[in-house]
Amino acid sequence: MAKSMDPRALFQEEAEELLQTLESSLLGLEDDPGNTEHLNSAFRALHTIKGSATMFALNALVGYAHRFENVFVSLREGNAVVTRDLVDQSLAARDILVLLLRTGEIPADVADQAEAVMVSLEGAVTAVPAAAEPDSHPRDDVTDEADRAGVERLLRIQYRPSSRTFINGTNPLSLIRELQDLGSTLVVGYSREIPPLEELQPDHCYLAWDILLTTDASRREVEDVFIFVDGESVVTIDEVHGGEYRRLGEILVDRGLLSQSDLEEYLGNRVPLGEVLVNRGVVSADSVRSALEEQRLIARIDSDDATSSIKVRTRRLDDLVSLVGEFVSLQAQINLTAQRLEDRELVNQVEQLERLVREARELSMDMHMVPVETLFAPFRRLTRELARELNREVSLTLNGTETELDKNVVDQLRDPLLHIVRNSIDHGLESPDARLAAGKPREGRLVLSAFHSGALVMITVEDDGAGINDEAIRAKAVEQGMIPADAALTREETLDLVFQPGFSTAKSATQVSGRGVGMDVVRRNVERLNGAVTLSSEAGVGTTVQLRIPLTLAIVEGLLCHVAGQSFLINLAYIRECVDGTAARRHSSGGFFDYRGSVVPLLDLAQFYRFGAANDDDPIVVVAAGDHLVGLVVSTILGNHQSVVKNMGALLQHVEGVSGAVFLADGTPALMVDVERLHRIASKQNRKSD
Amino acid sequence: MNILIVDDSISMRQMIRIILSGAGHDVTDAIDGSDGLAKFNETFDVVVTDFNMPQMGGVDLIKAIRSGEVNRTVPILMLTTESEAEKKALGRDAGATAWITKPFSKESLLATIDKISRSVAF
Repeated sequence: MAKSMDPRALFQEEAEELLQTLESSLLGLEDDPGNTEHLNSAFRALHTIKGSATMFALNALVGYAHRFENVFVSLREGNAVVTRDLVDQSLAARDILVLLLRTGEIPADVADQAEAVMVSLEGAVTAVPAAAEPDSHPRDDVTDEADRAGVERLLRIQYRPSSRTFINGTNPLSLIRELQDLGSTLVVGYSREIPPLEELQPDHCYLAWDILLTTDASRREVEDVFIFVDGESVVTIDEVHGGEYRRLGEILVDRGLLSQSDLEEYLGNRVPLGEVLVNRGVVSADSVRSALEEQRLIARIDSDDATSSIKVRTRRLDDLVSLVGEFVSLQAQINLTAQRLEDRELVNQVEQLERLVREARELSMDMHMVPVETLFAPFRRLTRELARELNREVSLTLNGTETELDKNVVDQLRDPLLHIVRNSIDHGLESPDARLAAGKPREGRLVLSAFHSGALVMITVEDDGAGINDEAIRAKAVEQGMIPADAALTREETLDLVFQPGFSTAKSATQVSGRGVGMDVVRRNVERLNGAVTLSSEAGVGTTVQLRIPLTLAIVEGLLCHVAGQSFLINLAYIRECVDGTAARRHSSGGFFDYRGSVVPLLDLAQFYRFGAANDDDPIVVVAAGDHLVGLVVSTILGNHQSVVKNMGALLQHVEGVSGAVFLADGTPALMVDVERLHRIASKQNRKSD
Repeated sequence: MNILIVDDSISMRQMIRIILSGAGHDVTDAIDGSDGLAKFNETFDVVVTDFNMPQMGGVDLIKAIRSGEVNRTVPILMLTTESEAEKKALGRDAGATAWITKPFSKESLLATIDKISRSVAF
């Protein structure tokens, strides 16, 4: 056969061949009516013609072939027997298919005959299945406008993948991710079915999930996510109505996990229902946990309506947060005691306490969070005033104003942010005439953005002004005696000079931008929040100032390490990874090591804090300050620790590389490693040692 | 991606080949289930198979791949003519990852292949 590239032409040839096959099979059936081989072959030929014809939208051909095929389906199922008459009619129908193939539609003069042939064939097979019209787009045709209201609501999706889910090539995680694309989710996993390791079959799926999805997507869109799950998997989607507090028992009954009568029976006990049900084995602990999550989510959604709220003095809230912080610390101590006493009952109770303390912590921190909007909003007005005063035209854009941040942090960010914005308008953005001359629109663009990145909040101030001139900064710094005239500085280091005390490049001191009181104050204020500020700029294009701020000041989750016998805590927000020191490839100079394909500077904390020197096989904690990685060498890594961070006090607050202190479970103190500061020191040191 | 197309209709194979290779995929043809099984190996990222074929049909091919030793969790896309629930159930129970109903558009074929290949578990 000629290997034509055009599928339509190929189809023509192929269909002719198939009709030939059909004819031979029909003739074969005439000689041997019981021959299933011929029967199957005829059916397949019709089926293939129909299938391919649908792809070329040959609707008349598809329709006729479909009816013809149904006749053979019936024959194959034994609903009728092949007779001589049936073969005759089939051959006639085949000829009509040939016509259809060549002309695309049934010529008017044979239309009646074509219909008559098919009707008689359909009559010959007594129980032709109720002809399902080829429902080619069953899914697409359905539009359920009512369901597509675009109204946000809460859906409860119970997904119980069958054990063979992995073997079918499906990854439940990707389905959950697809749901996450549709809205916000709360996912509760069921892991109870996972057998002990020796019985575990790696390609079996033992997991199940409940997903609470808040979405405005239609039910169909949600169902479509699961369109490919296999038949043994169970997916149920129910709408959950908020608006009222629902008891645990009601949720479980609603989910079909518990009958109403059982519920009433168990409610008779004065013990928490969840506990009773789990202890009696009526409902699994996972199910109770999942139902409780739903209860809480709904409570939260309802409270978000903000119809009922009460004002609380910030001071009281602060007290609560710090009190909870103390709980967290004490909790850690009790944990240790319980483990030492090896009292199983006590350990269990302590674990429950730990869960409650964690919830209390989250709740109190939640109460303390305010949207960045409160920080950004005053700048709408301020920008206008500054612009007028300085003869600038500025359009201000605020992004991510819903990002939440600790209220105390927000309060302390006001001044630094004001400095930065002033600088941008005064030194960054050019006058309208200068902008026009530079081929830019008259109006300068100023963008304030906030977004979460792990346990940090990024706040950026971006302008499309003149950018910062390296040479001007350099000259100024030399003039001020900050650097020697021949100092070799990277661009980044040059820009960093802006943050040095006493530095100002403004040609004339203006009323608004102050006299060199600016970026150094900004940096100091931000560092007091354990944050960092960096600047990037491109001449003629604009300047971006980025603030990296921890979400909260109150309680820090960190990695506890020993350095030469002393305890240090490294904020988890900065940690990328811990690297086994024996496996790390260190450079012979000792100042660097290979990390995931790049060279990363090493900072030996023991040496830095002057305790001595680390061993060559000590573990490395890789931390990220902005885009930069540093490997901190510690003696041992102990584990996670949550704690209230205390200030160092006036006497010690200028100690470099330490940002605060915490109390450990046994009452001894540990110092917080100031990652941002250490990174700057590390990059300087290593450049010198080159 | 490396994709194995199993279909007894040369025009279907050609059409799918044009769509898939146009999207930058490598394509191997097989004329029915047994040919497909013979050509199947660990290099394929996705298998696209017809339901009805002489020698060995789609369901048997899927069963053979799923119970085999090599690349048994490969995503398999089944082509069906009608969206008959029964046939889908047959394919699904054999271990098809997804199905698509003829006639399908170029976009829906590519989107489906993209969807199932992203969902590979291992």
